[in-house]
Amino acid sequence: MVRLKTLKAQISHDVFRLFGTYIFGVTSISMLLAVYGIFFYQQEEFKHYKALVSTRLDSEISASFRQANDLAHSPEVWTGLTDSSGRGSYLLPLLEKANQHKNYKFDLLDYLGRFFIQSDNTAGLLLDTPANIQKTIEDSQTHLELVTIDQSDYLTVSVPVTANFTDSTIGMVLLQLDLDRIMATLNFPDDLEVNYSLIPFVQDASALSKHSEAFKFKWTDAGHDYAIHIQLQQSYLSAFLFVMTGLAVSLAFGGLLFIRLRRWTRQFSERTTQRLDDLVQLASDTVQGRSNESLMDNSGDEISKVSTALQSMLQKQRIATQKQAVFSRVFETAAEAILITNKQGLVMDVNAALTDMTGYTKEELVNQPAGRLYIKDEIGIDLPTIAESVRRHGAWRGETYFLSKQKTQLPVLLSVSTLLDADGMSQGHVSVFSDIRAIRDAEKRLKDLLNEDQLTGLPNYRGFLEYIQSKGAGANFAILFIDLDNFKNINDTFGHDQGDEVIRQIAQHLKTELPAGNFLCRRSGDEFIAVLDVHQPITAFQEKLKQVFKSAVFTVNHMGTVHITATFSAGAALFPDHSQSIHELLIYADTALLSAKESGRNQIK
Amino acid sequence: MAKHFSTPLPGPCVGRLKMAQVLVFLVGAWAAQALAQSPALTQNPPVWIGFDDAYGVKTNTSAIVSEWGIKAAMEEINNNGGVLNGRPLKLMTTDNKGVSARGKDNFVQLAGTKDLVAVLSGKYSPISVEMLPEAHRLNVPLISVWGSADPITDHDQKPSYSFRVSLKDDWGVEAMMKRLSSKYMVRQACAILPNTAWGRSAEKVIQEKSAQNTTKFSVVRWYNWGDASLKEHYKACLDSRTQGLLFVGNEKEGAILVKEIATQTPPMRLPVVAHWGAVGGTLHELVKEELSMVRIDFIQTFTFINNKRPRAVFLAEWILKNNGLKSTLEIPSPVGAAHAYDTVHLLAKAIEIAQSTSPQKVRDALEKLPAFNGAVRHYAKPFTSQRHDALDKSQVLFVKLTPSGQLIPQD
Repeated sequence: MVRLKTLKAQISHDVFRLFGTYIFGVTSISMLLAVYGIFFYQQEEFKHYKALVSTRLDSEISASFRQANDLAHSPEVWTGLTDSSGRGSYLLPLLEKANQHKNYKFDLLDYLGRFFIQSDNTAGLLLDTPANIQKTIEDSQTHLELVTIDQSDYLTVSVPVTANFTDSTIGMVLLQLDLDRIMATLNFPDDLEVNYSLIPFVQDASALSKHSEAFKFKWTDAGHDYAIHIQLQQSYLSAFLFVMTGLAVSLAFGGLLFIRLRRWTRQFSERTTQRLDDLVQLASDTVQGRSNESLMDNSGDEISKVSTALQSMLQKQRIATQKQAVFSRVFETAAEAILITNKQGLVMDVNAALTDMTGYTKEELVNQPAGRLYIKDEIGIDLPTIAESVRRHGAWRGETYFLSKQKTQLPVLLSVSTLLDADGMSQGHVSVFSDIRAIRDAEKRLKDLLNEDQLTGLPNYRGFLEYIQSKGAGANFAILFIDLDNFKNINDTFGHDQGDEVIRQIAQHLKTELPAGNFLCRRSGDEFIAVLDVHQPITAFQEKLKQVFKSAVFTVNHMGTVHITATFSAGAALFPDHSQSIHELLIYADTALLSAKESGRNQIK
Repeated sequence: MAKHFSTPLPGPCVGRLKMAQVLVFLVGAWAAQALAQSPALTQNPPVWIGFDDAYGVKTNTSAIVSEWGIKAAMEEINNNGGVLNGRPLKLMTTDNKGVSARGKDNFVQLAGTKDLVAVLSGKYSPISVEMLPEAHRLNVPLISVWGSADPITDHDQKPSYSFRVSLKDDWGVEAMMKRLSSKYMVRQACAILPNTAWGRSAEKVIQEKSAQNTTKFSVVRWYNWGDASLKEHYKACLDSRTQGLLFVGNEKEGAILVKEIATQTPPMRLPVVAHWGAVGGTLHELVKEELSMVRIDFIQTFTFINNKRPRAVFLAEWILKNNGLKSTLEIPSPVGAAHAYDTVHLLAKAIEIAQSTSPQKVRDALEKLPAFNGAVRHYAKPFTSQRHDALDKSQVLFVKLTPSGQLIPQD
């Protein structure tokens, strides 16, 4: 079905469909009722007509036949038929008396059916020897015939006159019943046709336009049965015109209603359309923040209520939208990464900070489990823990790690809170992440600065202490206290700057020479501490150390390059052989160094 | 329409004659004609004479008896060489059954026949009157051999084509009136008349002639053919203290009257003078018992009894010979036979005078006929241009009817 575009078209379509259905229904029912009513009415009328016709004909035929028989058996008539000139003196009065009745007339015919005497019954003269007369001539019996004279129907009856003085028919009495005149006395409607026939009527096609009923009217006279068939016909035209007039009036009113309805439909639809346009305009203005009082619909009807409600709603909506825009901008521009998940833990939305932070695009995250962002190892806080906290307390705050798309751990400060709807029901969660990598880096740098020797870059004594404490109790290592022999001379000779340079070269030299896996830190001045894992017999280890602490040549810049050969003194303490206490080991090693120094330097004790 | 030819004779014309008589008659008539007519005569074209009567009225005997008279004359003439140099006369009959319209139609039919010279009309006067216009329209002579009504010959048509060889009421009814006066001494008389041209003719005579006669007709009653009773009329006559009754009618009404008078006490039985219609039929058979109880005379113009006229004798013999009758007394309705017989002879003479079968010429010739000695009378000059009645009151006689049907002349 084609969807009608305009309100007018829709209203017109619906209204006229309803209207059409109504008109069709009412008209159809009216027509059916009218047709049935007319048919029923005509049937009843025809019953009445038939009864009237039968009664009337019965009366007229009885009377006229009686009179015809009286004439046929009248000696006066017999005499007249054998008489000659002068017979009129008694026959004419006789006929005149018989012809008093206006509905039927009598004539006296001779034995061959010719008019024997001219009466004042002129209608009879127009008869063209009806067939019944011939039959009566042939068999001397009474016969009927229906004839039409000047469009009037007559029943002619030829009654033989048989006198007692002869066997043959000496003449006949011709009775003419003026059927039309008889029917006229019944005051039937003008359009009711009464037809007569001696044989049954046959329904023909032309009778379809008429209500037609035929019946056989019978009577008995002198022991003989007679009958004529009578057909009553009434055109449906008058009834049809009646129905059509009713229909026309109905249609005229329908047409008037149609015009009024169309005008109303147009006006209503235009007015409604205008009001809806105004409503749309008002809504648009309201949405855009413009106020137009002229568009306000104050008529108080449904549209007016809708207008008011819509305006109120749109104003709220506008405020909400403004807020939403702010929130959206906040969301989008916040430095913190924001992650919104639904109740199922799927990502609903993320902001730009989060995508920047994690390297994911929004499309890669939305509708994905939020868990992929969390690190699920010992570094991060366990996700179920967070979830449990949120479930219990509605929020969780703490530091943890995220995993970037590049699988980089991102230290973050995470704040998770439950997103509640107006009814206080959870709709999901909002997680806000703060990237704390800079803080962590600063912390590491600070820590490094605390444990590092600024001159050599080697760990300082604090670093040594943290390192040695981190060693397990099962380790097997040696602590070496190393000191450059006669370093004070260098400082004194070449200055402290060159002394620092020498110290940097010594640190480099030691780091290189010491066995792999060594830990070397500068204790202070020219003192270094090395921690070496011992994996070989002590003697071999001592031998190896001797190779390390051979004298070494260092260069200083003092008015050109000066090569200085230096030697080292070292004191060693073995863990756990010398002590299981770090502090005692340090003392032991320090003691050994002092011993070496005292033993002439360039030796290991 | 019934159409009867003389050879062979028609069946329906036999009236109440016994079948045996009819058969004898038929055979006899055929044999007589066959033997009598010469071969040359039978080869010539016939000259036709038509005759119409109420053959179909059962009680009527006039038709057949008149036909006897016609045939007797024809046989006689044909045996003498016919007419117009050897042409035979032949009879063509029609049956009007007593109905005027039929008679009129019959006349028209007969008149249309080639070489038909005239039509003879029978017993019923109204039928003859009904034929008059046609006779004058078609110019064919109409000769009544029985009808007595005055209008048959008394009319304004010129030239008149109607002739009569029969009683005429003008003098016949007067004779009846006189009979009442002279025979029964009736001073106050009653007339019972049929409501027809015949009755009206008689009534006219009664009215005209009453003044001249001693008998006064204080009561004239009319009846219709077929009336079942004349009691009322007779009672009216008695109530008027009339002493005699003049009755015009035929055998049926005559029988009713006779029967009803017979039921009266003898003093109440008025003498009746009746027109001859009643004896034109079988009245005696209808009223065998009562006939002797009523004084009733019938007017006649002819009787075979004691009649020595040669043609009357010839006619009687011919009838007896051809119909198996033994006595002239047995011949019914003798006037019909005699009138018809004389008429055919007069016509034959007229044909000879006219020397033509042209009906007009025959009519003219009829007015110029020479004297003829007929069976009824000697016709000194049968017809003239002013007189178309061949008989007159001198032929009147009254008869009594015997139960056997014999008509016995009375004083």
